[in-house]
Order: sequence, then structure tokens, then C-alpha cells
Amino acid sequence: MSRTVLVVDDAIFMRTMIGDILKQAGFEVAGEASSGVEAVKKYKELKPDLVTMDIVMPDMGGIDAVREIIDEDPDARILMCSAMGQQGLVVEAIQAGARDFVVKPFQPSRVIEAVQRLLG
Amino acid sequence: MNQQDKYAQLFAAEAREHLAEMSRALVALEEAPGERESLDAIFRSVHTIKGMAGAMGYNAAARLAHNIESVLDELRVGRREVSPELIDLLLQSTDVLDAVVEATVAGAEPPDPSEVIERLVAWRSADASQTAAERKETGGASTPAVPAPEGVEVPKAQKPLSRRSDSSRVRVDIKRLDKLMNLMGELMIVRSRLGALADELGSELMQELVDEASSLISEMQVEVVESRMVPVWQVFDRFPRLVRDAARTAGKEVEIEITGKELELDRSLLDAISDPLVHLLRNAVDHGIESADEREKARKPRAGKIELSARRERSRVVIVVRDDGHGIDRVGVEAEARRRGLLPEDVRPSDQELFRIMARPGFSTSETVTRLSGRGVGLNVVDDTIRGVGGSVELRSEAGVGTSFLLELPLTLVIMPALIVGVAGQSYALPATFTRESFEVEEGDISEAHGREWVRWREERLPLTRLQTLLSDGNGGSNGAENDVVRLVALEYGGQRLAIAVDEFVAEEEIVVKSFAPPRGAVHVFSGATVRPDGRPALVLDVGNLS
Repeated sequence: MSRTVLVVDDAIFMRTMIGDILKQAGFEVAGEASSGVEAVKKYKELKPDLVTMDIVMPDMGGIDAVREIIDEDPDARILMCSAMGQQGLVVEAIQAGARDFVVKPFQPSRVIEAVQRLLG
Repeated sequence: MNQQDKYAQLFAAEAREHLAEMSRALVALEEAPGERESLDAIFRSVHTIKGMAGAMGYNAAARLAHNIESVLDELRVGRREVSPELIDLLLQSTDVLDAVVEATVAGAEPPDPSEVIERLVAWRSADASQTAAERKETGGASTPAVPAPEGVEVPKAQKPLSRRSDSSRVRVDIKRLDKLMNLMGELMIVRSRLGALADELGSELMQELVDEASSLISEMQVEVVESRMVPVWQVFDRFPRLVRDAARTAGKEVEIEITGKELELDRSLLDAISDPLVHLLRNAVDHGIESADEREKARKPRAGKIELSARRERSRVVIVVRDDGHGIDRVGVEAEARRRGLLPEDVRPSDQELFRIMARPGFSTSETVTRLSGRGVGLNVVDDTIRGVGGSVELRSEAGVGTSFLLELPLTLVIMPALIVGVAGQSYALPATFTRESFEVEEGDISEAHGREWVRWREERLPLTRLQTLLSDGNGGSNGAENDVVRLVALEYGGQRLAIAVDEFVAEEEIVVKSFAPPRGAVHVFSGATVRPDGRPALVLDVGNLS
């Protein structure tokens, strides 16, 4: 059975692109969320194997969403997808419980690599 | 569609939304410089554009977005404060970003954003005495490539400022919705014909099936129509910026107040009225509202006010652009109209007649009226466009008090409720947007004055037009009227009321309007055609041309 992923980003564009990359690598996109609040809700609902998480979003940013998801499920595997210039926040996200990060604009191979490493 | 095209389309659609959001929030930030929400909204939008442009390899857009973001970061961490000059710079940067994005998605070479980027960088390094000292103290290395220091506050849970779609929505090309709407229209025509056939055959089973299909189709029609509806803020949100810029250029003080932003309108309709609204707003700033000094002399507040409102009334939408300026220069317009032989010496035109004169092609390019309604594109373009989508324009002007333009529009373009009337054995459709009441009088109740017929309706005397005379070029005569009864429909168009006489009231129906090219030399009284349940065509009357 293919592994499931929840894709979180406030831009449809980014969700589509990340989703396509993951699907091509044989993952199943179980759901999408466009805000931190929605991400936490969908995580509880879908219990995905992995979450890709944007940082800057309206209605609760990615870092707070990571905290809440980890509160709920300490084993949650979350991959931060941050834009260039947000490295400082990535460190904060890792401290909050995210497992790894990729920087936008990303290479598909880099995303797949990170995802596979996380799902080990 | 290949994947790259799909991404490019998504990018274009989303980047445009974010650019509009940036303009809106920048103007809001200028009004309330301490407003954290506006600042965060601008930041999020430019940040998203940067990310998307980077992913697409649109380097010029990504670079500019990055530099805008860096400036915003300075504000977000409280190192620098908002000033009118900075808002100007950010608005200009947004414009350049807009141009870069549009050129890029169109596959053209984007304009070089270097100039504005330099100014953004210069703004950040200005006041360097203070910031450089701070940097030295904290020992922080500052490379422009890493503008976000650690621990920058990311907006916490707050009400979503950008009303963007969430993940349970999909984007659909408007052309696909157009197609769906047209198919819907065809289906409605087939339904009507099936209904008529079932009646004819007298089969109960078939009647039941037709009824069932019919109610499903009605539901589906509502859904299809709804799917095309978008809130007017998608266009209106650009206007505070537009008015601000126009006012600056004109050296005037102008405020704009927008109400009814959440009202929903058919996407194509909203697109169609966007340019006319821009024209009316610019007119209001340039020619309606007086200079601050003039206003003071007239004991008005120094800042002029423009109100833009949208509201729904029955089966139509009314959009009003009102300014509190000096009103239309009646004397000037009347003099010009007389000079051109458009207005007899002794006639004092009503506001609406004034508008009809000003909306004549070419009239507004004259010297007098350029001053009044100017900028090359005249009011005739506004009038043509609004009429083209089945709407009407009404002018109200009061000297010293202000000018209002009322735009009345149908809710959707293709499917609309209509009153079907019969004249000389043919059916014609009157869009319900303009019909007020159908009523009957006796032949003796019709009077003649000023070379035309008149009839009483409620407390008013309405000019009467006999459709049969109009349609048959006067050859028909009034043979249709059995006994003495005259059947009339009261219409209201652009603030003017009139009555038309018909032979019979046939039905009230939802009609599907097909665009229509009138035969050469034909009377310009039809705006389209529709197909009746019996399969026969009916022409849709252009109410604006009936008087």
C-alpha cells in the first residue's frame, strides 16, 4: 500500500506542484490544507504517514501547526517546505518537532529524497 | 495540457490574486500604519509570489518579490516605520511586479525590475547610521540574501485577511463555465420542448418524467449560475488604490467608501463592468470633485468623497458611483449640445437626457466636455458597455451637491427571467430587469400630446410606444386589439419609465439569450434571440431603444 501524505501550503500552485512530485514517486496525497488550523484538523482526521508543511500561511503559520501536531502525535513525520530566506524559522520548526526541511524552489529529487529518508 | 502549462496557469491566477491583495493591503496600511494585519497580509502575498516564481524559474519576478519582502521584514521586526514615501515605493514595486508577472506568463520578455530593486535596497540601507550601528553591536552579519533574522514573528491565528480559496476548492477556466452555461441553455430549451410535447401527447407517464427532469434541470441551472458568481470585491478592491493615485495626480484630496463588496455577480459581467467603473471613478476624481480650496470656499469638507456601492434589487444588481463634487456643468453641456444642433433652444433637458447627449459618440471629445468627462474615452463607452451586457446607466446630478451614476445590471448574462409578449402573431421577450408591471387600459384612456401618445400608470403619465407600429415600420395599423382593451407593459430603463402596447401577454419564462446579429438596416430594437418551448424563436427586445 502506498504511503499517504498531507500537503500543507497556502498556495494552490505549491500544493499542486508538491502533490505531483509525490504522486509521481508513488505516494498517495491523502489530503491538502491551506492554513495551520486546517492542517491540524486534517492531520487528526487523516493520520497521514507524512506531512509537508509550508511556514508562512494565514490563519496559524506552519511552526505553530507543527507544535500542535506533535502535541497530538509525537511520532508525526513532518517535512518543512520553506522559501529561501526563512532558514531562521526552519531551525525553530525543527526544534518544534519537524524532521527535515527542503527549501523552495525545490528540486523534485530533493523532495523525494527527503521524504524517503523520513519514511525510512 | 502539459504539466508546465498547468503550473503556469495556476501561477498566473494565484499571483494575480496576491498582487490585488497587496495593493489593497498597502492602501489599508497607509491609512492605518500601525495595522499589523495589513502588513502581515502584504508579506504573505509577496512571500507566496516569491516562492511560486522561484519554483517556475521566473527569476525577475522572484528577485523583485524577494526584495519587497526584505523591506517588509524591516517593518515587521519594527526596525523601520511606515511612511507615505515607503507606501509609494511599495505600490510602485507592486506595479512593476505586476508587469513582470504579466509579461512572464504571457511568454514575453519581462521588464527589467533592477531600477525599482535598487530603490528598495537603497531604502533598506538608508538610515544606515542607525541600523549599521545596531548590526555592529549585535555582531549580526547582514547579507541581503538572508533578510529574515531568526525569531521573526510569524502571524499567529488570526482572521484570514486574504480571502483566498482553501484546499477544498478547485480553479476552473471561465471558458469551461461558459461552455457549461451554454449547454445548460440548450438543455433548458430541450426541456421546454419536451414539456410541450408531453402536453400534446397527453401521456401521464411522460408528463411525470418530464416534470422530474424539469426540476432536476432547474436545480442544476441554479448551481451552474451560482458557480459563475464571484464577489464584486475581486474588482472593487483595486479601486481605493486607483482613486488614491488619480487624486494624487490631480492634486486633490479624495476618499472612497465602498459598500456591498460581498455581493456576487456573474464573472463575465463583473469583468465587463470593470473598465466602465474605472472610467466613472476617474471622472469623479478629475471632473466631479473640486480642489480642496474650492471645496472650502463652498463650505464643504476639504476632502471630496466618492461612494461606490453594490446592492441587489429584485432580479437586478444596482451599482452606484456617487461623488460629492460640483455636479455636471449643465450650462456648458447644454450650450455645446445646442451648438451641435442636438438640443432645441427652448428645451431644458432632464438629467437623463443630458446623459444621453453626453453619451453620444464623439460628443465627449469636444473641448467643453473633455473638461467635464474627459480622458479620451467618453461616456459613450460606458453606456455602450453597460447596454451590451443588458444593463442601463442613469445619471443624477445636482449643482454643487454631486453626481451619481447608477448602473443597473442583470444578475447573469445568458439566462434571465423575461416576460414574453405577442405582437402580430410573433413572440418577443422583455428582460425582467426592466419590466415593472403589465396592465390593461381602454383605448379611450390614451391621450395625445407633443406628437406622441401617453397613458396613465399609477400616478404617472408614461410615453406610450406601440410595439406593432415600431416593428412593422408603421404599416401594420392596430388591428390586433379586439374590443377596446389595450395591453401594456410598464418599463423602467435608466431611470426613465415608459409603456409599450402589445397584443397579448404570453408567459413569464426563464429565457436563454443567444447573441444576435441584427440584419443590416433593421430597426435596432433587438438585443438577442431565444427559443420558445414550442421550438419557435423569439426576439429579445432592447428596452433602451424602445422609447
